[in-house]
Amino acid sequence: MESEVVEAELVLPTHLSFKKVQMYEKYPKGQSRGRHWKHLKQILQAENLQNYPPDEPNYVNIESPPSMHPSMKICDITGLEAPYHDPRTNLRYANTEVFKQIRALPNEYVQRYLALRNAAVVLK
Amino acid sequence: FPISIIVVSRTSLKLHAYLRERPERGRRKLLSFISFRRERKRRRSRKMPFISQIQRQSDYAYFPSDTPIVIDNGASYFRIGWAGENDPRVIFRNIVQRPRHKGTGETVTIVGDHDPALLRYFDCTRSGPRSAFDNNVVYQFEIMEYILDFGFDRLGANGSQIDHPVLITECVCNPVHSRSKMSELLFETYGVPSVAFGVDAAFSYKYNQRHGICNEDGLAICPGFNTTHVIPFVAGEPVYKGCTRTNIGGYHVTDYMKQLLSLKYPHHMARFTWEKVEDLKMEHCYIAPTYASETQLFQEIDRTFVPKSEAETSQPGSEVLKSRPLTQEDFKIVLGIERFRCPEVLFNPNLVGIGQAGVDEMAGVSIRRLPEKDEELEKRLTSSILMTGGSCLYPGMCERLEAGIRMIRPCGAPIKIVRALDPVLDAWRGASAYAASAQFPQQTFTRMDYFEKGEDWIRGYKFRYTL
Repeated sequence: MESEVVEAELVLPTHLSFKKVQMYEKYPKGQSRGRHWKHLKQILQAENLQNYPPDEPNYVNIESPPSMHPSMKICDITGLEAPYHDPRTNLRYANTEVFKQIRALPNEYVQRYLALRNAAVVLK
Repeated sequence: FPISIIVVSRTSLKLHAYLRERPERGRRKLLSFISFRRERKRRRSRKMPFISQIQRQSDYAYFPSDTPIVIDNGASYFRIGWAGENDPRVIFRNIVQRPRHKGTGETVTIVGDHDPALLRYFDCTRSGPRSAFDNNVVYQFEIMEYILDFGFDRLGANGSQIDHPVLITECVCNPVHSRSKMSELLFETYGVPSVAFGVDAAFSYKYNQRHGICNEDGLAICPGFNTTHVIPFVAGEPVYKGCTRTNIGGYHVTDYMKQLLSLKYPHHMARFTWEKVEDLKMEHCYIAPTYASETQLFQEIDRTFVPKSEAETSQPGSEVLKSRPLTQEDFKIVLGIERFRCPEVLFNPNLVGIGQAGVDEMAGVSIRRLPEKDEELEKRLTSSILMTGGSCLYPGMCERLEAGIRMIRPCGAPIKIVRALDPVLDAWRGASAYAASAQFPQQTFTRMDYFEKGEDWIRGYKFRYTL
């Protein structure tokens, strides 16, 4: 190891005195480490929330509902208020200059702007 | 060329409008005024709230075995320290990288954020920074173990096990699987004698209540890193039935800003790292009193104010974006509307496609969800609203929240919104003050409890915040 790396103590040491089981004993090399961790969706499924009364607060219960306010439509490129909508690319635009820019954008950028709004078509 | 950032502020817009009417004033006066404004602004620049401290502490041995260790396990930063103190000893970003060392070829673990200059000895291409969190729940316990290793190591631990009770924060209504795996990790691997779990927003509220900032009944609004919570407090205890959570936070604001800037300036896409954009966000972003009125101001921008690169992309053809030689103009980044467009996401998550209520609407939902309908209680709740959490530091947030809540409450209801004393550190401070009190051991559970009573008991584990 280079001296400045050792001095800065960048790297986590492999053996720590206060641990009863070290990392290299728990996760031996060569085995697929940690790919078996349950993601949030699986954790929530495993909780079996339907067996408990529904008015008791749990992780899924307390999520907020969809917004009741009218949605704010802003231009995808400039951020100004956008009453107009381009049928070809599905982007929102505020005035004619922005429209010219939209029609000149390559498809990759169009998809990225739509992905910002979660409106891009994802082909799986 | 170095990249320079031009920030469009309301004053510069007014100045521009003024100069348009009186063109004889000339360009030189404009430049001298702008540089004067920049000097003044530099002096009043914002205090950056997030600074890591990873110095190894040397006084671990002086603390007796019953002094609890307090950990604020947040999705953005990990804070660890001793109970009863005012500040956490060790603070670092809650991420882990496992790059390969270029010289020896072995895979090493690096916890937290470090000086990027030192990382050049490591091959970081296949290992991005990884977090133990999914939304705000810990699910990757291998990464959590690395982080706890580093935290305890820097706190100075050197016995054969951690012999102090531990108070660790978790999210609201933490799933049983996450809570039990965390207890198992602490008991089995570190030998901790007893553990307690609490909600960080609640600790922050109790701390501020003790200092008189908010009352016994009130609302805690906590915009965090991945999520935003609104928790009502009645008689000093949080009412989880009335709690709401939206999955939007500081991370989404920074991500939005990063995408917008890279789309606007495609040449510099590689230079906009997430950390740099976070710095930009903390320094320049603010929340507009109403989005529509701010955009009105920005619409009167003179055409010449738009940088040349943007005006030129109106020409047809994608070859404009690649083959034009880069002039000095391209290295000027103008932050105009993005300054308040990005934090607007907290109030309108629809802007990024998340179909949930924004912060101001959540307060109304939370009051609606309370089990008892009591007008007096609702008045007391809205007259003591506390804002805590890292994402509430934007200028203009208080006013906007107040306007939003006034819109949904009946006319004339008392509304008072205060910011916590230190929104970033208050959760840790509240937890530390709590752990130092004499009744804290009654709220912990030991290894024996965990193994004898099993998962159902862990699910029913409730923390009492008033002692």
